Amino acid sequence: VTRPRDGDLVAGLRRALDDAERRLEQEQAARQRAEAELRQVRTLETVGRLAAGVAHEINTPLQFAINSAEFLAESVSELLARAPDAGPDDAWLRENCASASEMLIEGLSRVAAIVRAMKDFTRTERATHEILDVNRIVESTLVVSAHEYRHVADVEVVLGAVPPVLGHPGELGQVLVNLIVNASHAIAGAPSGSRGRIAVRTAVDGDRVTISVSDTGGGIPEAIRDKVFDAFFTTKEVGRGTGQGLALSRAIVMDHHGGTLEFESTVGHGTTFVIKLPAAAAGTVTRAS
Amino acid sequence: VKHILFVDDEPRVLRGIERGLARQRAAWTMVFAPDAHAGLDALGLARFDVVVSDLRMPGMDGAAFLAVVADRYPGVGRIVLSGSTEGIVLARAIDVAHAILGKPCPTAELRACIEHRLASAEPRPTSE
Repeated sequence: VTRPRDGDLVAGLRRALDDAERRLEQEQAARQRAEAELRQVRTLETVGRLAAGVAHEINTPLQFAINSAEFLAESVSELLARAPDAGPDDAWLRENCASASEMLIEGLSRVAAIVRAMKDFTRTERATHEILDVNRIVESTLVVSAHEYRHVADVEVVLGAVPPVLGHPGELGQVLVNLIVNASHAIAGAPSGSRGRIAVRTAVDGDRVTISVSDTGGGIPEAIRDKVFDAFFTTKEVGRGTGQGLALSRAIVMDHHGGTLEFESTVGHGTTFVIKLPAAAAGTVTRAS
Repeated sequence: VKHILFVDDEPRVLRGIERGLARQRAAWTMVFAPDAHAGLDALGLARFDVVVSDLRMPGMDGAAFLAVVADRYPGVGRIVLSGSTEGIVLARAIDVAHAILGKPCPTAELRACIEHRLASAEPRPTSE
């Protein structure tokens, strides 16, 4: 026995309920995003602390190893110059002693460069913006992410004479690693299956510094282009992607650095992501961490 | 002859430096101390031109050691040679050092840094 006005009331209540449900869903999504971001930050802090400790531990033995290798290289060549030549076996030894010492020093220097890049990368000071050399961040990133791309792509780096930017080195490095990992995955997952190319370029665009990462992967299909920056959106199999990389990257670039992160993609040819960051104004004063 | 004091709690670092800088022996008298207190003892016994110190050391750390050196022997050049990358550790060193070198530091760079300190200290040996 419903009166006609009850129908209006029921419809009204239903609308209110739908509205409330939608708001709840939105808030749950926002909360999930915030939690994911917090987890990421905590992980980075832990990794940063560990990396700083490991770097210190590695640097001390590297100090005496490099000093000793240099000493050996010099002393061996001196000794060899003094010793009489006793035939073809000697010639081989002389040659190889020299090249082995060079290799020893080169190997240790390379380890030193990796440790330096790792510590650049995992700086733990949070919320501190400092004047940054974007090119150095690019170089460090390529060192620490080498294992991600080495087997699938050649990397071409073109570093422009760019002005400094104001930002957080660890965060920007994290964004770049994300883009480079994505580029590697795009190349590895492309139908052609052949070795690809990743191009990383820095340049000046008016009062902004741009960093672009291009890949020769399969490109992003039209249908999902407006979802790639959504949190938890991923096309990768479980365990390979969390669907947070680009969402967090965009948040870091936009919210923390006042920049933009956009992409252009051609299916079958590849994708280019472009980060644009405001150049630090001349005379900007900043507090070193 | 110039006097250089090296302080580091890792004896291999000191041995490495000693060997690496062996060619300087004609021009430099080099003394090696395994901790800050031994370093201060050495400073009490002879006049040094430059001190090269690690930062993280048990007992008195490098920053505290260099602060004492700056106070008692202001004319002595103070160089940090540290593997630490932590801002807070390095920040304390900035106030008391003329130069900060990161480990690993190639022998040539260490030598150049010490030479630079010797050269810039000469015109005004006791002022800072």
